[in-house]
Amino acid sequence: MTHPYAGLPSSAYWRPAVADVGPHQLSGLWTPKYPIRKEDVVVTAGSCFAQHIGRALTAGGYGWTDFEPPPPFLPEGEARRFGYDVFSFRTGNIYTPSMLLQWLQLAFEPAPEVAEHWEHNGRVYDPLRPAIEPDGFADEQDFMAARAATCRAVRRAVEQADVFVFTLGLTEHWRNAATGLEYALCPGTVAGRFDTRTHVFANADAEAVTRDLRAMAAFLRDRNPDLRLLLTVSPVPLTATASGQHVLTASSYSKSVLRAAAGSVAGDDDRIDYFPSYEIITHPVFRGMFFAPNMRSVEPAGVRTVMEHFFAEQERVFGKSQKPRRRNARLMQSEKAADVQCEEVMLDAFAR
Amino acid sequence: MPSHAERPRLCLIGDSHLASVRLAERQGLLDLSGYDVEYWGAFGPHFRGLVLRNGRMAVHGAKARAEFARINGNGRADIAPGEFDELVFYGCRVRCSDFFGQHLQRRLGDGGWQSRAVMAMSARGFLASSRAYRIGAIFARDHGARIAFVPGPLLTAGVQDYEQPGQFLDLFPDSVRAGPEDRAWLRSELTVAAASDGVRLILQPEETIVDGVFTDAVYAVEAAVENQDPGHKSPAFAALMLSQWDSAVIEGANAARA
Repeated sequence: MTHPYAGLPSSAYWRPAVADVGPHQLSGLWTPKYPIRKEDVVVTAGSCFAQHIGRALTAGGYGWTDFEPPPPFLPEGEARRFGYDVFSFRTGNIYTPSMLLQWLQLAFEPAPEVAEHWEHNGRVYDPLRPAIEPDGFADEQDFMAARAATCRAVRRAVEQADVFVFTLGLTEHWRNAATGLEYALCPGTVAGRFDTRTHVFANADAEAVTRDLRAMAAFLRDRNPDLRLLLTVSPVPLTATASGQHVLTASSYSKSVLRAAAGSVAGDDDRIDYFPSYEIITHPVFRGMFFAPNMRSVEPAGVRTVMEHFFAEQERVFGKSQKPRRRNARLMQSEKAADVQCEEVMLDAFAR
Repeated sequence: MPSHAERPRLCLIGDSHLASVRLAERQGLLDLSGYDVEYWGAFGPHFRGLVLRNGRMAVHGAKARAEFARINGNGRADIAPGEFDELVFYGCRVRCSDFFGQHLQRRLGDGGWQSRAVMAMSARGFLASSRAYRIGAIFARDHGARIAFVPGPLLTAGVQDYEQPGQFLDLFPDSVRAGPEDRAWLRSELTVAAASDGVRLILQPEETIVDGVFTDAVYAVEAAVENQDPGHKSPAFAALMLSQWDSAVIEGANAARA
């Protein structure tokens, strides 16, 4: 070997791997560390882009599992409006690893009798997921019971999952200055009332995100030693920034930090992997083709392409996962009495 | 007895559960003489042909139409708003076991909680899963019709081995632990949901329920075990249900038998 670059595969060189093949023929973007089989219980959480992964896994026959499914007879659109069927539990978007760590701690620690909540027009809002009930909870008891149910679902998910997919979304976040509670959104935007004395802004750097990710991974491992973690970074830019920077550069900062931290944490652990959905959507080689005209929303074709890479690379490295997914015993509406019996009953009663 | 013209016009609409009402009347368990009564319905598959057409309750499909007409005895093809003073929907493909089983399992076994707003939506969704209910609600809303709805009751205890794979207790094992307060919660949700549609909901009374979520076997349809029929109930049960709608119908029957 004359030098370390000699004899490397073509994927290591820009011209054959990228320039010559173009965006639609790219392959080998991801070499997964471990197989994700169709029988694996897969859990998804994170920013809004994570919901696409769950849906695509389900469509692909994989075992994405919803540990907090909607109650029966809820119209599908309403279920999603109320935060069901979006992630594996009804947390709403979890943008930061520190927020996920906070949910995990809530799930595994004794529930407090009261928790911080916001009130507006007699309705109660959960600061960890203010949009989950569009009109708020009926009262504090309603809110606390729903929070507890979600915590139980998170706990079950962590304990039963084989693969935990977490999509990092933001570095910017808001906290309660006194308690440290991290909010999902800035108070006063969707619900709550902003108070400069109570609510403080933070913008995590790579060191902090890396530390939070490691703590989160350790927490998960502690509860489920066999759990494999798959990190992704949402390609969706910030909708707004409180950093004082332009929203475009603030987005670059945020995504760069998240990408670097994810890479760092995945780099030194065989059971933590990074899947490059972020690159597939945002890299200049794709010329922004997967973004909607607002250059923020990701078009369905983008999601489809991301997941095609996901499935293709899993198959390339580990072969096709053949085993059909064993469906959850999802509670079903059942047809009970045999119709032939129904007919006999009617004939008997109405015989003339 | 009031003359034919003076009696309120009552139509009992239903699927195969309607048979128990008819038998209750025949057996003198139910006195409907205070009403000018018609039955209109069909067993399951044909009952699904019930539709709303040009503002009238009608039936889709020739076979289903024939079945409705046959049950009616007078060849009735449809019902216009205002043709009856009272419409009582009975059974109508709505099975309380589905709603109770799933919600009780979530509440008692899975640690699930749905907010009151979500629960209210679930109750509305359950009722609205029946086209007959939806049509009844439209008649109530748009025409001020007096609508009562009697959903299909809970499964009868002891008729089947409900712990077999895929059977009720295999799916909802913790529902047997339900107590009166658990059932009251579900009753309340359903009743409020129906009332918001202008529909009077009639649910089976507490005294008919055993083992948390089953109907007492004394109300089983005849030969329920032999026919493996946990759904249908006896004429006595139908009489009990309709007595909640109008106590006179059972008081009259009791008086006649005394």
